[in-house]
Amino acid sequence: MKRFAGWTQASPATLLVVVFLVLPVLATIVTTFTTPGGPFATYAAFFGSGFRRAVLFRTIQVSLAVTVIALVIGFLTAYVVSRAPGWLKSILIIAAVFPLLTGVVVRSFAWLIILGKNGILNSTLISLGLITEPFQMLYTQGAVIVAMVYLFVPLMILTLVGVLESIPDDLIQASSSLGAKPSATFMQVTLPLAVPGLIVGAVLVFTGSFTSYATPQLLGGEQVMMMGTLMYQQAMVTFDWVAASTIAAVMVVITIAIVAAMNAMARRLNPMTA
Amino acid sequence: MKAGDHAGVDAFADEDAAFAAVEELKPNVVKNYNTGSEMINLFSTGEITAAVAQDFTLGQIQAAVPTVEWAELEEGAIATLNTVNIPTGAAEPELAYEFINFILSPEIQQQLAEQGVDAPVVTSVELTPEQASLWTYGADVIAGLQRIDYAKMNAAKGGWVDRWNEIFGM
Repeated sequence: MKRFAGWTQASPATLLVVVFLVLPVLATIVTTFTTPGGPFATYAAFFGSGFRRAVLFRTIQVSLAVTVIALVIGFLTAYVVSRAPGWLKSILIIAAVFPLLTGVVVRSFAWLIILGKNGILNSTLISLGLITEPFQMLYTQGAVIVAMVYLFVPLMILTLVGVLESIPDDLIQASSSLGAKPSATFMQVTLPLAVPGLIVGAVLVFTGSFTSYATPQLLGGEQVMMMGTLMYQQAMVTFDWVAASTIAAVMVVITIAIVAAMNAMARRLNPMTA
Repeated sequence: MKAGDHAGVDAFADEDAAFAAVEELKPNVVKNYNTGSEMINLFSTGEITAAVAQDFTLGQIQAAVPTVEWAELEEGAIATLNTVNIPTGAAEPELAYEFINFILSPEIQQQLAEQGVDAPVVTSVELTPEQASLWTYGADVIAGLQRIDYAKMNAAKGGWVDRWNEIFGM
């Protein structure tokens, strides 16, 4: 009866998710199986194209790189923040999430100004005499990765601060009183207990980068096409909505698969559930 | 299609030669743009110094970079068309026709041209040489335009976009 009551209370939210998320996604996927060429024709076309495979591979590669870099930067920052005294902690958290106050397009646009041919970075390097000709940094995979790391690190920090703060100080003290060096305490106590947060952060950042559109569009262009920008092109330039739906379906499946894999990994690594 | 002309072939008959000609351009391409405003930004930040562009962007490019000039193509500029379309099953087709008549009325056409919105399509619009310098305007200019067979191009577009992607996106 108690479980039933929970479901009743959740039903408005469940209804909302079913009507506005599950049904549209299913409708999108259904259209890709009802083409004249047979149920799998569009998928054969997708995976048969070297270019589309390259875009898919690049998207996974960029998203994984962004996730790993964001994990490292986010964890170190969150560790410092969670150990800071109260007043400093508030200031640090505000500073960390400050970029979230502006939109994705604005933040990506800022990188156009930093990385451009006459941008801040190139003109600084030239005036320091380190280079004579500006580097081509825009419209490269590196530019997309840098901008996305900047975009997603605040999310990672927020997720990890909460988790790191919830690790009881007693455990750390117990570890050192039993003779563990700070590095051993970190590796054997803090890090394993932070695994759930690391996984949540990684899932957020990975899915965010995998489905991103504005950043690769602005900083990558056609040279660094990713799944989001390819889907836009299929839908809005060639008007091939079935091909665009196919891309969407591939993205949904891969996202679910990777999130499931991360969750499985979390369950194995988490000392609380193992 | 223009790459085909450059390579001396019909792009519809010999795609490979046409796309080989496109590929020759790649070292000089910073970005392929999707919107006029994106291209104008690239001018103003100094990323690009030349672009294939439509006449309606010239005013804004020059506002950003005054030294930019319009270069006429020897073989005549390519006519790209703006169209006003009524969707199948529209609720108020009569109002839509009235709106089209409104846009095409000489007074509105005159204003659109004078205020830098778009080139006029009504022959009675009279512009001063200064006003006309932004636009595709005048019988001689119009007669010299190159026309594109959109039906033929749209039929080939899906495959061409893929080949284009393979050149610039691999």
